[in-house]
Amino acid sequence: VLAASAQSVAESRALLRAEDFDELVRLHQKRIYRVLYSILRDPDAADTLTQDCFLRAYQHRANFRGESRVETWLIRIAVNLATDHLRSRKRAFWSFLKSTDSDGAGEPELARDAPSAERVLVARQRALLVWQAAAELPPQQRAVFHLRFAEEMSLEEIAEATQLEVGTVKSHLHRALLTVRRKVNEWESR
Amino acid sequence: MKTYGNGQQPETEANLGEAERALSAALASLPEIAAQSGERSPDFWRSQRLAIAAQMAGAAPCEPRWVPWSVAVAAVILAAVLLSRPVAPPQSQALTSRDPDHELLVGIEQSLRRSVPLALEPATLLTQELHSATVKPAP
Repeated sequence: VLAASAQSVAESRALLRAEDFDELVRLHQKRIYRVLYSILRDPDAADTLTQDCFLRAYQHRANFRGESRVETWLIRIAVNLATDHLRSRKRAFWSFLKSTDSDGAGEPELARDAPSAERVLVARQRALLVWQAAAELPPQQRAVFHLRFAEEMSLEEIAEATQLEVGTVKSHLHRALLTVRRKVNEWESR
Repeated sequence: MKTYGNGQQPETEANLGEAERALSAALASLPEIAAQSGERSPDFWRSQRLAIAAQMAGAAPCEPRWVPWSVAVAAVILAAVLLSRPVAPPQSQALTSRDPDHELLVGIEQSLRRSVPLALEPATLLTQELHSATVKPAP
């Protein structure tokens, strides 16, 4: 196990070399963009912050000590960028205006000709409601929620990526789930 | 038995269980939704990589964290050394400026205090030595 982890650290360090950085971007850009889009629900911001994430990783590659996987390190940078972005009141104000201007524009396009069974449709609609409810969570809860349920990361991986204690991650998840459940119930009862 | 806080109809345990299952099912399909919502065209990914490469070309790697710290520590040490040095008292105007009249007066005063002129001091000393030697009584 130690040999394998040492090898993966060596591989990660090799990818962080300037001449191999393009390959690192190619390997991880989709996931980083997806994480950022899930948290931000703004394609332009997700694109910009994906670029910022890799640029920051490139500039600070000397600080990568191989204590975690390079992907977790990149997700950590992305989550920090996303939460900073969400906390900026100015941006929040503009995104609020944008969301009220084009209601539902951030929802994913799902295939209309999906299986026609009513149960499947109801489940899919509920999943969309959960997706929508998660977009209204506070920044840190939102990040933790998406890393857990959309990216299917373990609590330990989330703790590493968000630089929080596992207990704090659990607490954020618990609160996020309560909020999501309450919102979905409210919307379904309308 | 649980009730909604806003006075809606009571929720039975069975309903609650079903709601939990429905939520779990919804959560289980989130990865698929996230993946679908994050899908972009190959052109998008290519142009994103090009943009990243262009930004990397214009950006130098940041200095390691210890560099600014070491500079700050060196500055503090230098400041401490400079502040701890004893401050030399300012030289008085009288010492720095040369006033020939004052120097002459000082010279006269010193001559008056002496019993002999300055030039004759060695001779006077020799005479005193000789005198003391001759005056000494023989044992």
